[in-house]
Amino acid sequence: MNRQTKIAAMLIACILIVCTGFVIMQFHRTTGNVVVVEQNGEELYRFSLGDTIEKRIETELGYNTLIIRDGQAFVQSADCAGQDCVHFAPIRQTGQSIVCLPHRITITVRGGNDAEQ
Amino acid sequence: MRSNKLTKLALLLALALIFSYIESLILFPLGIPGMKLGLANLMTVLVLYAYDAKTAFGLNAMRIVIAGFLFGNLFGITYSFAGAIVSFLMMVFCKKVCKLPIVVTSIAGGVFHNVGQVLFACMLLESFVMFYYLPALMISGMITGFLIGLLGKILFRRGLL
Repeated sequence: MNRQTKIAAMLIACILIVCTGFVIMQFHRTTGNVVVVEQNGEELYRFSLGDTIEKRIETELGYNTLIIRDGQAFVQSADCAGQDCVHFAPIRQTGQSIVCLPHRITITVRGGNDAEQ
Repeated sequence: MRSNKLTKLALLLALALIFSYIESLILFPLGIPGMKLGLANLMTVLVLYAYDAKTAFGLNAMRIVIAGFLFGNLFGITYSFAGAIVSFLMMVFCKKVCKLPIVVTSIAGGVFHNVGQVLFACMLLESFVMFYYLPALMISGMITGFLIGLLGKILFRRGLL
């Protein structure tokens, strides 16, 4: 093992520790209250995480069907080719989000209890 | 290009395409799209170490475009390229400048593939929400990068290229 490899190994170990720390912290996040739907940084909708909602998010790029049920949100279907948003695990903790790249949509759980209509 | 090299590269490209196909079938059950094995990266690191950066880049680009049209879609190609370019530049840097062994280079490739894709997603969405998943994606990139690198090292030692 040469010197560069040792430095690289240490660097990798450091990054691994930091990332693991972040992931452990994420496990202890609090459950959020609102689900915010945004496109290109602009807010489209805002729902309460406590409600039971089935919303077809329709934009000029396509649609995503958002389901909020049992205190968690997930995308049930979408008309994109990749279906990545459908494969996201249901979200409920603050900061967690589901993204749909082809439709430029982000669905994020936020902490604030100011769920407006 | 000598026919020996041409034949080997053609075989590697075919194998990389099969790996891309297998990868499109496997879905990590962790609920973060983008987490994947990076099997096709095995071909990229192998060619990078057996030949040169130019050849490896050509093979990788062809693999992404062909696999994109066969098993994916046009949008998937741009997304793949975003990860592949960042990952590739990092791997070239690791090999050429730092003279690191294949396993470390592969780890860097795995991590930076995910970093590249998260950055691309941020640019596209004009939002930083994907950064939430970055630590988990970096860890998965490290693990898969390590395994792919180990495999590459074994194949390289056996003189399969």
